[in-house]
Amino acid sequence: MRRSPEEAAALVATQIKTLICPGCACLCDDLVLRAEAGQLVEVANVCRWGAAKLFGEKRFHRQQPRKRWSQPQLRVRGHWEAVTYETAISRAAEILTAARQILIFGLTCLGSWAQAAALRLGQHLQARLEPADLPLLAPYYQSGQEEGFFTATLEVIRDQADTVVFWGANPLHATPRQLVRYAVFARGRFLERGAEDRRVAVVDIHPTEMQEVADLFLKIKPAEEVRLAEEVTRIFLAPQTQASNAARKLAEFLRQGDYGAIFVGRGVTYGAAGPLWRALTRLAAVLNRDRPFVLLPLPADFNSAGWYNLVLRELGHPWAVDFRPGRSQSWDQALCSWQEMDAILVAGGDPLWFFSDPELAALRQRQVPLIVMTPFANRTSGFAEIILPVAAAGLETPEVAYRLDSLPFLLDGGLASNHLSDVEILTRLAAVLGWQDHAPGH
Amino acid sequence: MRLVIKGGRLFDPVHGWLGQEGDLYLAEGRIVPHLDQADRVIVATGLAVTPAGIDLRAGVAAYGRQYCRLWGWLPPAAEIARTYLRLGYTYLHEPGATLETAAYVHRELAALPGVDTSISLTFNLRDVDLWLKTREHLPEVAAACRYFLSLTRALNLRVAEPFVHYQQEFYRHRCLALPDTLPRLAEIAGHLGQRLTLEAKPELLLQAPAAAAAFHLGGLGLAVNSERHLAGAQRWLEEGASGDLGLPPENLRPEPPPWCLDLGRSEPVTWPRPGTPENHHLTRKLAWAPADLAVAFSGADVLLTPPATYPELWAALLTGPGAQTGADEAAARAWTFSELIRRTRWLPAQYLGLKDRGHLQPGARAEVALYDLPRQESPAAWQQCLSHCRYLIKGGEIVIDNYRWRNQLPPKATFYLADNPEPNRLARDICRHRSFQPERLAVAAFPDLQWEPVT
Repeated sequence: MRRSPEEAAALVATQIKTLICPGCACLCDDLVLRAEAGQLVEVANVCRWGAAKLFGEKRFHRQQPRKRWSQPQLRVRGHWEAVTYETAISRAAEILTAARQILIFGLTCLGSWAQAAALRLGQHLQARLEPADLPLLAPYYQSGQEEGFFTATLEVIRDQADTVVFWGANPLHATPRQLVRYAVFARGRFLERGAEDRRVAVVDIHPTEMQEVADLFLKIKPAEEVRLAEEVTRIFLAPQTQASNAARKLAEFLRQGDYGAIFVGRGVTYGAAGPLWRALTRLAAVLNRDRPFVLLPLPADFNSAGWYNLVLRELGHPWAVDFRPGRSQSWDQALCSWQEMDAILVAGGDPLWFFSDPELAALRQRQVPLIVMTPFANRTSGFAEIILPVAAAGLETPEVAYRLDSLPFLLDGGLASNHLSDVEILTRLAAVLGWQDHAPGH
Repeated sequence: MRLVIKGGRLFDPVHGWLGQEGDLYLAEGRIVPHLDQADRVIVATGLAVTPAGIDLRAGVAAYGRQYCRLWGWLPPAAEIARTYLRLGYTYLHEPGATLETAAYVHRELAALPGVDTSISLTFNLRDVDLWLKTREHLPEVAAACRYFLSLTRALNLRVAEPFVHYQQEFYRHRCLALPDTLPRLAEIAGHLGQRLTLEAKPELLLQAPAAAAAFHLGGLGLAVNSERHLAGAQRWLEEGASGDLGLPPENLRPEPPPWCLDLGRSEPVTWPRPGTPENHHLTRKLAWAPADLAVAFSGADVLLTPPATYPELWAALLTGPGAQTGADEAAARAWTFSELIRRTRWLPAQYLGLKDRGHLQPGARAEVALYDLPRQESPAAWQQCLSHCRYLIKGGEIVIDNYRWRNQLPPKATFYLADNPEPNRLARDICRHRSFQPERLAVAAFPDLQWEPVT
């Protein structure tokens, strides 16, 4: 499926007019490319996240290129050594074969074909697989299991949601064009004036850029989030109940809506995400008695929904998957301790970005071998034993990804690359480990 | 593989085989008139040899159903496929796909190993509300529907809400009531050259069945709430509509937490209403109505009647009302095994336009299920025999061999209507208002899905 640089250049120059952006979970499909002599020179409708991926720039520092490796790297006596893919994959297979406790981490920035290949690899290796945004999504699914799910496609939200709440979510950093395409500024079927027909509330523990967009901005302390959600629910159940000013304001804001949407972002994971999700789900249930109100997580990674859809379909649950022998159950709702692990394969994630310095020091001290598959250098790859550079999924290699409302799209991957794709690396790794994996679409 | 099934009791009721002994020859994935040499001979003495089953209302891949797995109401994909194969089914039809969700549904179906699949495109009449108002626009609506069928690789068109309703005051003038839409939908079905599936609702059954032959009534069971509704359903069927039973379960499952999915219709999708004992009783009466009515077997919904419960439902239909039901059942009758085969194989194949399925004549696909037949006609004995086919052959390959699974499941495909129309103005207009570019609606782009056209 991978295209040669010549083929890709020809495609860019002659055929590709629009592109689906794998920059975040919005999967914006209205990007328009302009190329000269097979080189990408201009992209219209792209946000900073998308541009960073397309042009290989740093997200927050435009014009600063992100480092890419031309070849796989092995760490030899503290120094990087460029090797072939065969050598790097063989070494990775050695590490994984020798390890008893293997973690495959990340996954939500892989395309769906690669996710399926990673799941099969994990099953074969008897490893644990942990998606990078488990702290946000596991409590969402758990609260839904207990209290119910209230969902809609982004299409319906764009057409009907006149009341939008961002809770612990800053889409300008997570999913920049979500506001423009679906939730706030978009013109919908019944909201033809776009932002003028909608009202936006933001609940966050820090002031953010969303203040500029919001009709109501509630800055609260992390410990007060659950109480706020519970108070608002109580106000709807018993209007005379005692409640804080913030709760009254938010309740009044919600009451005025005919159709609402609450997007919950990664911010909730800094506090008690489980109880907060539960409280928000109860609130959504109460709101739905009088008007439709959907409650959706707002993950940033471009194929987060693809992973959860895959494991729900194949295994029947959305939690971390644990194939390690001797376990009483093959799933887990919480992140595991990296202290337990003998080897870690990071694919489609940058977990060390979120590690504190003491955690990094502990990891370094334990010398747990890290095998990192990534298109660009990141903090995690800086600690890797083996770096396997990959073609950017969806841009340089075709992939399937699920938008944040779980609708799948084919990302045609028309740009040139000399790197192997995630799927090819995982399939070759499987072959070196002694079994023939079949990757669909390849 | 060249295969001979020797000495079995052949059931292909439409072609007059009602269990007489005979041999069946399979080669290159098809049933053939005769074979001189075979790679394998299955001695089927005393076994029922039937075409493989087709489920009209699988409901396992609809968008949003993934949440039901959290409550254990929908098993993982591989388990679903094996359950169907064990029952002798090799083909699942998914009714619940929309323009936006067709790609999702196809991908979910593709993950079911070993079973062939297809979808209906559930069309939202809101998208064409103004066009439905004037009769001269109906050919254009039909042309747009034909284009969408091709775009989403669906077999046929389904309307879940055969009316247009808006809550918004500003849009009230665009509403269309059920009696107004039915003749228009019948005309669209005429232009499409196929039956249009209407999801059965109580209010629909009470309508006068004008142009009934243009329609298939999907999932009658949950709509038959009273004797009036039952009479209405029978009237529609007598006037030429086809239908499927949508048989509700006898025992209701506990109430799950709320699940509410908005797909832009007048009502959100929620848990299927569990039905009542009255529903169950009346649907069985409908099932036992005269055999010449074109009512295929189907369960109410996979969440209410999972495929694993089908043998229990079949056993009850095969053994009749029994002593415990009321005196009004005196005239009722039980299904014969031939009738069960007709309603689970032939009628679904007819409805889906699959000419080479649902029968055992030469040229048909080599999709054959062999069952033990019970020594005595009791519900328990029938249930046991139908719960696990003894042999299952799909595409000419043996999948279940004397109750044992072969190691590899056979290849599968998704079937779609072979048609390639150009979009008209209306179709382009509808596409333009999606939240993504029109070309993203084309599901054929996914290279990992295996397609097979139906002509």
